[in-house]
Amino acid sequence: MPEPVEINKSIQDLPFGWTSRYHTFIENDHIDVRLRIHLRSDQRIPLRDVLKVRVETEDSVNRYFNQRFEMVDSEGRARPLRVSIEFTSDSPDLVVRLHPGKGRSNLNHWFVDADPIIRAHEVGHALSLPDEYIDPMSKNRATADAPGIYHDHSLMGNFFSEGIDQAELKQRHGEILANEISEAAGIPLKAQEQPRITPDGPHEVAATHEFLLQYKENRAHI
Amino acid sequence: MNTQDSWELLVSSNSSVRYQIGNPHFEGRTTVVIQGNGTASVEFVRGAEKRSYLKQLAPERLEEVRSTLAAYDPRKLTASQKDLVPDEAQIQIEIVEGDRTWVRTFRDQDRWNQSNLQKDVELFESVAREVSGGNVQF
Repeated sequence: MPEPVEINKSIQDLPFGWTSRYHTFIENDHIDVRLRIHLRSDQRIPLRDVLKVRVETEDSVNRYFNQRFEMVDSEGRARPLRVSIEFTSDSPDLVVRLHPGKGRSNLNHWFVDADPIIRAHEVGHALSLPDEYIDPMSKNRATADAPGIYHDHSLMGNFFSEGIDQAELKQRHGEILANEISEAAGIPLKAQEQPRITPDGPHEVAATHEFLLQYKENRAHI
Repeated sequence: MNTQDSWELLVSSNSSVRYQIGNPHFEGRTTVVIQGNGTASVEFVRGAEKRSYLKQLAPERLEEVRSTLAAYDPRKLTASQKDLVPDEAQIQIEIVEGDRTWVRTFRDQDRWNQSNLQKDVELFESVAREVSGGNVQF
C-alpha cells in the first residue's frame, strides 16, 4: 500500500477562511482521497441518528464525488478518483459538531435532519472547493454576475433553488482536486470527467465497539 | 455596562425586536419581527420563494419573550471577529425603542460559543415556528 500524501492548505474566500486537510493515496489503478471526520455529537442525539448521519454522508459523498473524475498523468495513464470518509476521533482532518433537528449547516456544524446533499457540499469545502452561490459578504460572490458565481447546477452552488437532483461536481472542481494532489504528490495530473454509472444504493454501517466507545467519549466532551 | 443600551425591551407600542439569519441565495433567510404590542411577523426567503406570516402573540407569550430577552439580553453579548467558515450564517439582532436603535451582527459560531445567544436564537426559532404554523423551522 502506498504511503499517504497529506494535503494541507489554507483557503480564503474573504471574509470566509478555512483549512483544507485530507490524505491521498496514489495507487497504480486509482487515486484514493480520504477525509477523516470527527463527528462530535450533541448529547441529545440518539445513537441511531448519529449512525444515520454517517451513512447519509458516506452515500452522499459516494454519489457526488465517485465515478466522476479520472486523474490523467503525463504518460496519459488515467486513474479514477475515489473519495471516502472515515469517521474517527484519531487525528481527524475535520471536526464537526452534530446538532439535533434542522438548521443552517456549515463546515463545522451539521444537523441530523439536514438534506444529505449539504454534507457532500461541506465535504467539498473540506477538499478545498469554494462556494459558488451569491453571498453579499463575499468579495468574489457578491452579485449574480460576480466571478465566483456559477448557475450550472453545481454541488457548490445554489442547488436549493436550481434543483438538488441536478446538482453535480463540474470539471473545474476536478481540476482543483487534480492541482492539489499534483502539488502535494509531485506528480503532474489533469482531471477529466469519467462516464457516469448509477451509484450504489444505500448501505449499512455497523456500530462497532470502537465507534460506541468514541460516541461515549464525544458525549463526555460536550 | 453601557446604560444607553439597557432600556427595557418590548414595553411600548413603538418598540420592536428584529432577528434575521441566513442567506436567501442558499439555505434561505429568516426574519422575525416582534412588536411591543405583541404583533409578530415571520418572513422566509429562498431564491424566488418568499413566505410571510403574521400573528398576534398572546399576552403571556409576549411576556415570555420579554423575560427571555431580559434574561439573555443580546446587548450584553459579544460578536466574534474570527474568519467565517464556509456557509456560516450571520445573525443580526436589532432592538428599537422609540427613536433609540441598537443593532449587532453575530456570527453563527457565536451562538455555539455563547449559550445566552443560543437561548435567544432558540426563542426566535420558536416564534418563527409558532407564527408560521411550523412552516419556518429555523
